[in-house]
Amino acid sequence: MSGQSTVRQRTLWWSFFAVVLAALTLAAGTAQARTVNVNERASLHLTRKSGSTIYQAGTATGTLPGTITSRFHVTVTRVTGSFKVTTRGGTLTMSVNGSPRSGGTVARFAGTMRVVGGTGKFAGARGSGTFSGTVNRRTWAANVSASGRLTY
Amino acid sequence: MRIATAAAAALAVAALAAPAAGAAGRAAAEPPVELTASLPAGARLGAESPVRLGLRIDPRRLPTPVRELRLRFPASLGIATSGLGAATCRRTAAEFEAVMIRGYGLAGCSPNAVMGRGTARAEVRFGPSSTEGPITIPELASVSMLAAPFDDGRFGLLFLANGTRPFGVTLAYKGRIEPAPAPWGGALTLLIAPVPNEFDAEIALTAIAFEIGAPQIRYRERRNGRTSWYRPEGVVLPSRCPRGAFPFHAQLTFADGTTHDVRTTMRCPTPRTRR
Repeated sequence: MSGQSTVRQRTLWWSFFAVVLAALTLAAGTAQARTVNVNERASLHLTRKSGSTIYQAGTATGTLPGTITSRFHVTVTRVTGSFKVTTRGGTLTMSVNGSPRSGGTVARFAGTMRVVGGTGKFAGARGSGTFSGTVNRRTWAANVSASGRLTY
Repeated sequence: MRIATAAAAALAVAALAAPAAGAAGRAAAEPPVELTASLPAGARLGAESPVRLGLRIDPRRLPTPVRELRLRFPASLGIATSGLGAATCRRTAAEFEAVMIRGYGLAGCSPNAVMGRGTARAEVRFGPSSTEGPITIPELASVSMLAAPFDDGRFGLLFLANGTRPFGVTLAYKGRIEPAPAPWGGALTLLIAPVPNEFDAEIALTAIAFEIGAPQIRYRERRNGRTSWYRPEGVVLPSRCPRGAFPFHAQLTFADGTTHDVRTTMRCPTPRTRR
């Protein structure tokens, strides 16, 4: 009877330690997560077009310098899609939702974006922001400014 | 002999009547509104191409003039990813109210604003605005679809109709491209305002056919101090034929408030065989 009680006590202690350890690990993880204000400028060029979808690539400078690849679905009234920034320590994938703001050869556009994925140090990252820019509708070269907050 | 003559006459009458009855039957069988959409021969997937659109309205069955045409186009067609509409043409609200504007051709608009070209047919009805009373004169016009400035957050359009015969007047109509739910990429809207009362006339559109990204469209550009002309990139087709090809839907709103819907599907271009 007393042997059974000892085993039960040990099991309880081990459970308690496991919970404390898990809590400490979570707390440490939370402490490491940081939120930063991100300001980026990107320069993109056309790599391919298919119907209303344009594929671009380019470079980003700013808080997260690196390379960008993007895929946008462009209609006369909306721009949706995603882009991936490859920067030091990982990648960030963002979805975008915007609209054109003017016509002409150099058209203006603006919208919002949010983090939908990440790898490396950006695994599990979250955040959102806004963007605006211009695109040359002859060459489909675009210049974009983006800002937002990122937690990773 | 008399019987034979009578039988021959009956046969002749029957033979004459048969095609007429057939034609009447065909007319009755034809829809009052017909929408067509096609790609020219030589169009291929993954490349740019003009898109031909046509609308025919039977004025005997739908005599009331059309006031609004809303054409929904598929999201897979790269209209926004084309190079069409490198400039915009602004017209005043007064000009849209007057309908008839000064000038001919592009009436002062930049050629870089032209997105499509085509022809239109209309019935010009003078006199009492009833279908039996007025004198009706058919009119032919060449039509240009131009990019206009953004209007209330929407891509603006301007339609210019240059009467070719018998009336050589230029008519200006407002349009825009509005959002449309999936699977549509947008709705191209043309507002056909009535001509002012002082003319005691009404214009009833009976047919319009135009080509977005027509091959004869040329844009002007200045490079290194020299002016040159180039052909803008037309509508970009997707690399693969979308399921259900390219559907179009037109909704016509008539002056009496009634509407009529018509659909069509533009077929994908035939893939080129590799040698």
